Amino acid sequence: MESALTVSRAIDAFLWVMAKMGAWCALLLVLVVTYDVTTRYLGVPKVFGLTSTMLQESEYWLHSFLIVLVVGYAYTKQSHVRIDLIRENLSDRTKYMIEVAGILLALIPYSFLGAWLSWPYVVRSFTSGEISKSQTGLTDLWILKSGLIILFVLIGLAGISQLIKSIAGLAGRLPDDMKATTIGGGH
Amino acid sequence: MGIIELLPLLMFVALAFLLFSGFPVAWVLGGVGLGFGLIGIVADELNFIQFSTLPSRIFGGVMENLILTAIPMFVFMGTMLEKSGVARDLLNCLQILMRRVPGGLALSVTIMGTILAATTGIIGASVIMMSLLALPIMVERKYDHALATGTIAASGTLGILIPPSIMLVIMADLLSRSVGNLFVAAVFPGLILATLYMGYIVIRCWINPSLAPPISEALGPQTRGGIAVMILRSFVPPVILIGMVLGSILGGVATPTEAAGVGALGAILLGFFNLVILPSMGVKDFTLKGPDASTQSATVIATSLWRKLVQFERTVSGVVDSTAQTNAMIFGLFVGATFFSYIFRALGGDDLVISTVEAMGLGPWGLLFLLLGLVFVLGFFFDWIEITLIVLPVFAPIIAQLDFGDHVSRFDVVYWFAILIAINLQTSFLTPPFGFALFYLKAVAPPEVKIQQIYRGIIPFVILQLFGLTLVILFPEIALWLPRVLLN
Repeated sequence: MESALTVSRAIDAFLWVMAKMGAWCALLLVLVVTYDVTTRYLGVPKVFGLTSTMLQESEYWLHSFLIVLVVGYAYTKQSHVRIDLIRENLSDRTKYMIEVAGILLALIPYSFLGAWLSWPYVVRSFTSGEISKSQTGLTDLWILKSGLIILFVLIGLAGISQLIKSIAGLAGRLPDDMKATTIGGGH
Repeated sequence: MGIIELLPLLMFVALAFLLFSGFPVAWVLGGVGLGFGLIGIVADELNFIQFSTLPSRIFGGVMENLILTAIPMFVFMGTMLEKSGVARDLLNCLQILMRRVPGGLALSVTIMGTILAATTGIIGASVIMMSLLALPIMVERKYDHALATGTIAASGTLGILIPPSIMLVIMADLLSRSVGNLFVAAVFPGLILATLYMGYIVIRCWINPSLAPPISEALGPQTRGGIAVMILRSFVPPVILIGMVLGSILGGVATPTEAAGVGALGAILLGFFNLVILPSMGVKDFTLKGPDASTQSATVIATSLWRKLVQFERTVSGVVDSTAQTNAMIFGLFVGATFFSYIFRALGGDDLVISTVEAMGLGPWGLLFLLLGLVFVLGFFFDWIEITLIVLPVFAPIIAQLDFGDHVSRFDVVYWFAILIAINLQTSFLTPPFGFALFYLKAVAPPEVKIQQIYRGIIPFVILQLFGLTLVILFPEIALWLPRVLLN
């Protein structure tokens, strides 16, 4: 069990690093938007021959990475919404069982299918050298599309980590400091 | 009708049932979508090839979408204003300015809720923030608990309606309408509700002043000059910021995404001003009593510039982290809901809904009230995110077909409908015994505040909400006039 929990800790640490990179995309996004807006309204040319279209496309690129790098991590931080109405009155044991069942029956198949369907979608984009629909936009659209694979793989990893923790919780072997990230604190 | 035709309906039954397990909604949506996809394949209703367009749906709907990019930036702006103390200072300032008005503390909460509507856009988070900031001082001043909590719950939820509301961004996206137009349409309904709240508070406290003892005259700056400085530092900057963000959208100068970005940067600058520049100049933070009213003290001023910069960096970093997680929560759900709705459609869900609705023969008004009633009940259990993402796509084709004749023009129906849903949802979040804004409030309220008092205090506000809703139903122009004048 200890070694399994070590795996879980390693996954959480990896997700944390991914999420950190994703999260700073939020600040970058704010800066890019402001830069685009101010130069456009002031009529100042942009540096490096960038166009407004490129900047606006990079805005949803940044937002996409802000999403795909953080969604999995958010599960390990218990940031995803749950319907608490009944759950509040359940014992910890039942909560762990729901978590195990949910991860095995819903989360893992979902993330597997998502990643598996996204793969050919990304490959097609890569081999065809797909670029933005607008002439002055960004190239290499496959990089953005590969975000879908990242999204589902990270969700799957988060699921595996939470599965290990929940099983440990059922066996009564989950350290207290990991309990809040598994079934949430009592709020 | 065979079981196969009913599969989309069973999908919703299964979803509703499984959601109550308390497993994260995003994964339940994905799991139910997947499960019914498999059933569809086994029953020969679906072909596996149909699954392969799912990635492009998610890509087009969630990733390659410049409109939704506004959401993390609005969340960023609100969180930054909150964590840098700008929101707290604004509330303190309003409380001091209104100390001679009947119900001044309660009024300042409503005004703050109106100005900082964007604070987070997530009901739980806004109600909690407002409760932590305002409730302790109201309890300390012996405010009537029912009035205090009613005001906080109603003002804290007003943010889903008043722009820049992220709920309206998502609604506009799902209904394929302009975010800017929907924002403008929400202005008057939002202001009417805020005015109704304030009218109620003033009249109630004027008749019975013991409900709302004013804060002590000894608090805050005493001289005219002191008050002017307070207004300049705590009131003017956030109001100008929000005014610019909204003004540029309402005036059609900037898209919501552009306004959100500039607004977020403005919030960072305000935070820098509040956390680094003002303390460096030796300006002391004015504080009101109450456990959460004072976080910054003379010790902050005494620290070195370097320490202040570190403190600022930590704040920004915390805002970035919390924005990323809120955004991930919203878009994790978005992806799950895309998955779910795709399978729902592929199984013939749209046709089932439309044929069922036609079979009921309700007419547009009947349908409108049916949908409002349905959303109202759903609001007892789910936040607006689940409701808009799951239910709205199902009913979108019907809504676009509604014909109210001369009452509302065909083009405007969708905007009007979205505003009605927003007011309706807010009412639902406030209605006892389920209204979950009330639970969030209870969770962070001082122990002497009882849930019965919260229930009693919210009822007048629920009545005001229903009155506001009726007004907008009877007079659609309340929502539709301003967009026509400003934007067309």
